[in-house]
Amino acid sequence: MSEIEAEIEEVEAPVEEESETEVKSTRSEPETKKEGPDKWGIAHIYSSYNNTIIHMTDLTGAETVAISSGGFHVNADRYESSPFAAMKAANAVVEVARTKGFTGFHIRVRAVGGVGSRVPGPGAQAAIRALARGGFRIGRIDDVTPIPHDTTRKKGGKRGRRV
Amino acid sequence: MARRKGRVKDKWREKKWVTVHAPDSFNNVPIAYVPITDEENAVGRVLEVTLYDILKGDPSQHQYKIYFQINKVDGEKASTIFKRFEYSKEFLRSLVRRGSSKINFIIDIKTNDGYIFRIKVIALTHRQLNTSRKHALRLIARDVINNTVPQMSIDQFVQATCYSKINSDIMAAFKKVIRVRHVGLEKVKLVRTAEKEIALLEA
Repeated sequence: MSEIEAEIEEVEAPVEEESETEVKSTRSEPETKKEGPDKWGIAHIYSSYNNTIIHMTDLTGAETVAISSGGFHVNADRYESSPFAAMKAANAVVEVARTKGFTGFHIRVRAVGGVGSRVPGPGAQAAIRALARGGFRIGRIDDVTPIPHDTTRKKGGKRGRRV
Repeated sequence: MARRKGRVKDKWREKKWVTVHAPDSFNNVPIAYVPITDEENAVGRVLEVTLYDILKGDPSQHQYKIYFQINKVDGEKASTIFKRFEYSKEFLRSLVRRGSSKINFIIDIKTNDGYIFRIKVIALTHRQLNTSRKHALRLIARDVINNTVPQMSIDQFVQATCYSKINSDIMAAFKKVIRVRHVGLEKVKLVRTAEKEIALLEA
């Protein structure tokens, strides 16, 4: 997670100005009808080794704004979790969110957690970067991997998975 | 695909946007702007903000999370109640260190207007403590909380937690035993509101 956060720090600085211009352009089109406070949302990124799911909701997490996953955008199963698929998914989400007039969002990254891996999969970084490029303002970036206080035994047995 | 998209968009049009306001203890500042379809469904939704978002004070307030639950929607405004206060995960991780003791203490407490909260106190020391000292610290924490909180109203209590007034009380009391590195309320959770408590007692 720490490396990802470092990555984002780098990414965010240049994106900031970019987003300014982008936001202005979007505002002129769909948001003219309704001038209110900024519309913020939450981008939930669930990144496992098998897929990446990007789910954008409102701040309560109850209303879905847009959802997409790596599997939507590639045909081979083994590429579902790839950074490329994650990027595609993020772009799709950004597209929909923009038509709905959102201006910024917080990001919640999640790995499998529990008994599984606690490190976000390969798609997480790409997804975050693509979201940042999408021209939204980005608030907090949290790691919300569910970490148990005690666990059941990880599958695979004492001697590990023997391939 | 195209048909599905159209339906989703229509649904989105129907939603109205409401401003969510923080409870009285935070001067009803607006905290969020959320879409809802109907008012009944919106009640009970929980949203998370950092203390910094509300107070805009110093950046160290980023590490405290507060959860508010929507309890009433009235036209364009939604009011909330205080649901949970919590250290952020990263902050908690940064506090815990090798070679020092961590003392946890959990207590359920009732404010004077009947709200029940579960408080988790965390204390971190400079070096390892023996068990008798730990016991002493827990007893002190219990006494401090038992003496102060039942006299507070819910608003006072929420403010005392968020502005770390309870912390400093406990910290001062701890000094009799030993100086500690950090004292705080790791988690404060609303167990039952006053109305629910009354309903429970009647049942």
